[in-house]
Amino acid sequence: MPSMAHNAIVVDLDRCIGCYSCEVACKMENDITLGEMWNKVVQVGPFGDFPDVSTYWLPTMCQQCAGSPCVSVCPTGASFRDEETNIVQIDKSKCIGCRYCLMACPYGVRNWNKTEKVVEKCTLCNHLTAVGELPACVKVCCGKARYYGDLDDPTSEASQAVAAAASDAVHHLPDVGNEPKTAYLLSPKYAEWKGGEL
Amino acid sequence: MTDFQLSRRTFLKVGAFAGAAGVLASSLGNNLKSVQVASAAEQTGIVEKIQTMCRACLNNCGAIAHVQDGRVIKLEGDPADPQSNGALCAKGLSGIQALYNPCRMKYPMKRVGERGTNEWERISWEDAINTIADVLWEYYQKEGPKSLMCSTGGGGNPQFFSPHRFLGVWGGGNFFEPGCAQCYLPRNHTMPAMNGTADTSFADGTVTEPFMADHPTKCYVCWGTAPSYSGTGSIGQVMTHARAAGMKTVVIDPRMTPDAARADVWLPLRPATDVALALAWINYIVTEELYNKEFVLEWSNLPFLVNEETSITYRADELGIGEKSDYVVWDANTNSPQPMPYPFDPSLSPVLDGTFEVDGTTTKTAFRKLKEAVAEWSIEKAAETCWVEADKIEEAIKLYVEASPNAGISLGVATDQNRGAAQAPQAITILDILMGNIQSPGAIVQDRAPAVPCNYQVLPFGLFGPHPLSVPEEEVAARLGYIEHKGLGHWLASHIPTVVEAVKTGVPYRPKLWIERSGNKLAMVGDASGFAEAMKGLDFIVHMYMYPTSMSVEFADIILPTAEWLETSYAQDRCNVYGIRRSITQLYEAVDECMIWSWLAFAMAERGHERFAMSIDPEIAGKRYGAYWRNYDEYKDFVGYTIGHEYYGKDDWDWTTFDAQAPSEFMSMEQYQNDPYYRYQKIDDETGLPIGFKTTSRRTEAYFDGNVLLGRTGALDGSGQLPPASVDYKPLPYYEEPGESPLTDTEYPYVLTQGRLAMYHHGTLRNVPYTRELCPYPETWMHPDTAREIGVEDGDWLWLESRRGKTQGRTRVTLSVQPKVIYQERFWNPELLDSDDPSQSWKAFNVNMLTKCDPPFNPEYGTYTLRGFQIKITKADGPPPGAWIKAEEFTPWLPDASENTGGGDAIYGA
Amino acid sequence: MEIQWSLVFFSAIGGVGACLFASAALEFLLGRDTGKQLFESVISLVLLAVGGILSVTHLSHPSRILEALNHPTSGIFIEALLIGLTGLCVLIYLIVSLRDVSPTIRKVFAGAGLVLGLAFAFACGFSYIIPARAAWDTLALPLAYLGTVLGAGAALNLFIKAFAKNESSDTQMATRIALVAGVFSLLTVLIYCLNVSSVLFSVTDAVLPWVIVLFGSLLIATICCIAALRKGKDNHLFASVALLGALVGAVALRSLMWLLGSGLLDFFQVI
Repeated sequence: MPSMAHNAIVVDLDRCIGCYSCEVACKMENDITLGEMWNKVVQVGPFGDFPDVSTYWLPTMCQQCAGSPCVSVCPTGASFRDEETNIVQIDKSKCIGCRYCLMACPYGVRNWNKTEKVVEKCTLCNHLTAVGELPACVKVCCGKARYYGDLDDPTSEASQAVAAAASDAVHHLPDVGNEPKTAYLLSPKYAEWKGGEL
Repeated sequence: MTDFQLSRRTFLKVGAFAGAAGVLASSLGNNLKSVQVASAAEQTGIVEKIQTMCRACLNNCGAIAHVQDGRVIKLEGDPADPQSNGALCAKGLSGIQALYNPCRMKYPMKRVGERGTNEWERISWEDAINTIADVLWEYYQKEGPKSLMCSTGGGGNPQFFSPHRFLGVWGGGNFFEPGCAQCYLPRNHTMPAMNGTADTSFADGTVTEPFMADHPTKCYVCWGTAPSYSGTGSIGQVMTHARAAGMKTVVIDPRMTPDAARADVWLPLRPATDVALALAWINYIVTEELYNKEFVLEWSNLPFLVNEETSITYRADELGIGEKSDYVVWDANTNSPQPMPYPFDPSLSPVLDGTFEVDGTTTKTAFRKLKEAVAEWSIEKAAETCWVEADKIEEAIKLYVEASPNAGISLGVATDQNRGAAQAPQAITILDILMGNIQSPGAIVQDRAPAVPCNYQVLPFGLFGPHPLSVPEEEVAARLGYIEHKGLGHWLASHIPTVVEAVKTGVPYRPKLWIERSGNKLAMVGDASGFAEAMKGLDFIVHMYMYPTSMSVEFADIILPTAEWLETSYAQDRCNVYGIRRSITQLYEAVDECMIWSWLAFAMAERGHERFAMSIDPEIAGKRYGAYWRNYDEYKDFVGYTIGHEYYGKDDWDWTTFDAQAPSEFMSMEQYQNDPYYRYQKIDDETGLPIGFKTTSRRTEAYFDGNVLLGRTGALDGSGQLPPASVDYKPLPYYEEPGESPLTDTEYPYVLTQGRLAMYHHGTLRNVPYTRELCPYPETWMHPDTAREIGVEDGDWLWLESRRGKTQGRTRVTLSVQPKVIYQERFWNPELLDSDDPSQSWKAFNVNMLTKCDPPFNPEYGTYTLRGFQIKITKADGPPPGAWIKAEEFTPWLPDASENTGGGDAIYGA
Repeated sequence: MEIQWSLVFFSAIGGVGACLFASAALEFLLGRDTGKQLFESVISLVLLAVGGILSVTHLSHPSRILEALNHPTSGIFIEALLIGLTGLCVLIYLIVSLRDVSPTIRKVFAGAGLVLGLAFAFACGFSYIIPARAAWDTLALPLAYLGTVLGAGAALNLFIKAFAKNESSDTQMATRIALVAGVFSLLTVLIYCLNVSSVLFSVTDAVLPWVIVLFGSLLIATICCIAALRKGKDNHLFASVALLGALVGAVALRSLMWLLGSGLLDFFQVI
C-alpha cells in the first residue's frame, strides 16, 4: 500500500540567521549548476517604520504540497509521488521539458536545469534519507532552524517542532488549493508573517 | 555527489612539465601553460570520513571531510564539536571549491617581465628559498634588520604569528597587518589590561560563556558585532539557542543584522559614535547608582585616590602613609587617606565618590574622576549625537543592568576602525566592571581566554618573557610608529601610515624588502591607492598565498603557493575539546606558510645569520616555541607536543599521539564552565591571598592609569624604558567626533560603514563560485529617503566617492540602515586580474579606495578610519567593465580535480 | 512571465487551422457551400501540422513524448489527442470530398472535425487553468482562446473565399460567419480581461501596449467584416485586413496571457 506520510522540512524562522549555508549545502550535495538552485534563502523586509523594523529570512524550496499541482499537470509522470515515502519527486528521465509543472507551482521553487534541459527540485535529499541520514540543509543549518520528518507522525522532529510552537507562530506559504506542507515558524514578537506579500 | 569534480570538467589539464613561463590567470583554468600530472591514486571508490577543522574563518568549527581515493568530495559539520554541534556555514562548505580552485597558485614562480606585467617563470622550491635568502642576507649585511618588512592578515589559513616570529629572529624590522590596530588589537589589549581577565571578542575565540548548556547569560549586548556573520556556525548558532531559552539581547549596530532582527533592543547608531553612547550608559549607571557597589568597592580601583598632577592612582608611599604596594583610599571612619592593602581591609570604609584635600592638594577618587568624565553624556545628548532614540537607549541599559552580574557586552570590530579604538573598549570594560560582570556566571568576561589570541600554535620567541631570541630593545623602539602608538607593541606591530610614509620618504629609514602572506592587501588596507603607490617603490617583494591576487600580479617578484585549510595540520580548542585539523590532501607544490618561514630560517642560518642559527637549535628555542622545522612532520610533532603539554598534562606527545585521540576532551565540560567562575577570589597557595586579577593592582582597573603609563614608558605598570608618546594616553574614555563628520561635512553628505556578511571572511572567497554567486558584487545599502535624495532606485549602479578616491557599488534600497548612513562591504574582483588593467581588480569595487589612512589616528594604537567617514554618491552608467556579475560567469572557477602530490613538503625540506 | 512564443504560435496556428475548418464545415453543413472545400481543408491540415510541430519545439526532450501515454489526463495529452483527431477528421473529410463519397459521411466528418476543432482550440487554453497563476485561473481564458482563433479561422475562411473565386460558395455567408466569430472573439477577450482586471491593473505599464493591440486588432477585424458584408463582392481588402487583425488578436491574447501569468510567488525566477 502506498505511503500516506507527509515528509517535509519545517523551518524555524525565529532561529534562521540568514547565513545561506542551507543554500550552499544543497548546491554542494546535489551538484547544482551556478545560477540555479533547489533551495534559496530570501530576506523578507526589513519592513515597518525605521527604526521599528522587522525582517526575517525565508528559506524556500519545494513545499511538498498535499495537492501537488506539479504532479497533476505533468504529461509524462516525470513529476510523481514516490510510493514508498509519498514525497513529490521528479524522474528526470521522463521529463520532456514542457515546463507545465513550473507554471503550476505557486511558489516558483522548481529549477530548470539548463544543461540537461529538465526540471529539477528539492528531493529532500532522498539519497541521504534513504540511508537514514538527514537532508544536507538540515545537517549543516547554522541556526539549527531546520527539521525534517513526517508531519503526520507526531514523534518526528518536524512534527514536534510544529507542536512546540505557539499556534500564532505556525505559518505556511499562501495556499491556492495545493496545501503546502512545509511549515514556517515565526513568532509575532519577531516579525509579522508576510505570507505572499513579499 | 560522489563524482563531484568529475561531473563538470575534464579530469586534469594534462601537460608535460617544463619550466614553462606563463601568465598568472585568475579566471582561467590554470596558472601555468602546463601542469604536472601526479600519479592517480588507486581508484577504490571507498569513502573515508575524516574529522578535521575548518579554517574558512577564525572560528575553526569541526568539520568532517569525505575523502574518496585521496580526493575531498564532501564536507559536513562535526557533531563532536561542542561549539558548532555539526553545523557548517557557507564559508566552510566552500572548502572544496577553494581547495580545487583551478586558479590556485601551484608552484613557486619568479617574475620574468617588468613588475606588473604578470609574466612568470616556474622555479623550484630550492631556487625560491635560495633566491629570497640571498636577497635577505645581502640586505641584512648591507642595511641591517630595518630593511625588512613582513605582513600577514587574518584571512586565508594563516599561521598568524609566523611573520612575527621570523622578524624576531631576524632581529628587527617591521611587521604590519591591516587588521591589528583596525581589528581586534585595541580590544585584545585594552580589555584584559583593565579587567585583568579577557577581552570580549567571540569571533577570536575568547568568549565561550554563551556556549554553556544552562545559558547562564541573562542579557547579552552585542556591540558592533554580528554573531550570525562572524561566528555563523558557532556563536551564531548558540545565539539562537540562548534567545530561545530567554536570554535578552541588545544589538548596537548601524545596520540591521540577523541578530539585530532578533534583539530585544536594536540601537542603529550613527557609525563611529559608539564611545558617546557608551559614555551615556556609564553616566546613567553611575548617576542612577545602578552599579554593583560591593564589587566596585572591593574589586576595582575606582575607590583609589588619583594624583591630579600625574593622573596616576596614588601609592601609599607617595603620601608617606604606607607601602608602595598599597593604593590609597579615603577612609570615612577616620576621614583621612589610608593605604588599602590587597585585597581589602574590612576595617576601612572607603569613600567611592569624593573630592578631598590631601597634603594641601585637591584629590579625587577614581570614581569621581569617572563620574566627571561622563557627566555631560546624558541619554538625550547621546541620542542626539548617535542618532538613536533616547527611550531605546534607556530600555537597553535597563535590560543590561537588570540582568547583571549575569550579563555582558561583546565589543566587535566596529570600534576598532576609527579614532576611538581604545576609548570604546575602555568604556565597555568600565560598564562590565561597574556591573560586576567579570567572572560571574553568565558574564561574557571569563578567565578562559587562551594565552595568545585565537590560540595560535606558532609563536614568536619571547612572547612569554625574555628569551635569547627576543628582539633587541633598540630594534623594538625603532619599529615604525611604535613610540607614538605604543599599544601596537602588544602584537609586535608597526603603524601602517608610518610604514607607508617611511617607504615613501625614507624617514626615519627606508624599508626595502617585503615578505607578505595574505590575500589582497589592497582590498584590506585603508586608502588603498596611497598604499599601492608607496609600496611599488620597494626593492624586493615576496607574496605567498593560495591564489594570485592584486598583490601577486602587481607587486611580487617571487610568489609562493601556500596551502588551503584542507591541506594543513593544526590544533584548536573548542571549549573543553581539543580539535584537530588534519591535512587531508596536499596539492601541487603548496605548503603551510609556517614551512616557508622555516625553510627561510634554515637558509639564513646556512648563510651565517647567527640568530637564525640559534632558532634552529632546539636547545635554545625551547620546547614551548619549538625550533624551526625542517619538514612538516617536525612541525606537526611540535603541535602534538604543545597540545599534550599545555592541555593534557603530557610531556611525551607528538603528532601521532595527538592524532590518535583527537578530537577529545581535555577537561570535563562542567569543569570548563565552573572553574573560571570567580577565579579571582580563589586563594593562592603561596600567598594565602586571593589570586585577584591580572592587572597591576590585582583589581579591575576601570580607571585605566596603566594606559597613561603605557604611553609614557611602554609598559602598563610604568616599568618600560621607551620615550613617551607626544600626547598622553588618557586613563578615562572620551568621545571625539570622527575626523570627517556628517554634522559638518556638506560636500560629502553620507557616512559610510562596513561590516561582514555571511558568505565572506575578510578578503577571501570572492573567487569561490558558490559563495561569489551569493554576493557577486558589493551592495550599497541605503535608506529609501537617501535613495530618493540621490535619485536612484534599487539595482542602480553607483559611484561612491570620498576625498581619497572613488569606487562602485550597486543600490539596495533597504530599511536596514538609517537615512544618511551608507553600508557597503569591502570587495575585490579576482576576475579582473586578467584584464587589460589588472588594477581594476582592487579598484572597481573596493571601499578601501574611499577609506582613510591619514590622521586623526587613535593615540594608543594608531588606528586609522575605515568606518564612519564621509562619502558622496552618484548614479553610474553600469557596473565596472569586465566585472563578473552573473552566476554563470564564475564557471571557470569550478573545481578541477587534482591529486594529492604531498605538496611542496614532498619535494623540499630544509 | 516571459512570452513562450512556441506555445503562443502552437495554439494560435493550430487553433486557426482548426477553426478554419470549422467555419468551412459550417458553411457546408448549412448547405451554403456546395464545393469540395479543398483549399480550406488542405490549409487547415497544414496549419494543424505546423501548430503541432511548433508545440514540439517547446519541448526539450520530444523523444520522451511516449511517456505521456502513462498520464492520459494531462492537458498536453488532451491537446495532442484533440489536434490529432481534428487533423484526422479533416484528412478523412478531404479524402471523402475528393472521392465524392456519400454526402452523409462527408457531413459526419465535417461535423466531427468542427466539434473536435473547437474543442481543441478551447483545450489549448483550458490547460492553463492553474490556481498558481491568478490571471490564468478562469474559464474565461479558454473561452478567449477559442474566441480569438475562431475569429481568425473564420476570417481566414473568408479570405480564402474572397480570393479563391469559388463559385460554389456564398461569400456573404462566409462573411457573416466571420463577423459573428469576430464579435464573439471581441466578447471573449473582453470577458477575459474583465475577469483578470485586478491582475491587469497591477501591471498596467507592462501590458498596456498588448491590451491596445488586442482590442484594436480585433475591433478592426470586426469592422472589416461589417464593411465586407456591406460591400458584398470585391471585398479582398476588407477580408485581408480582417484576417490580419484577427490573427494579430489571437497572438496578442496569448502574449498577454503570458505577460499576466506571474505566479503567486516566484522565488527562483526560473520562467
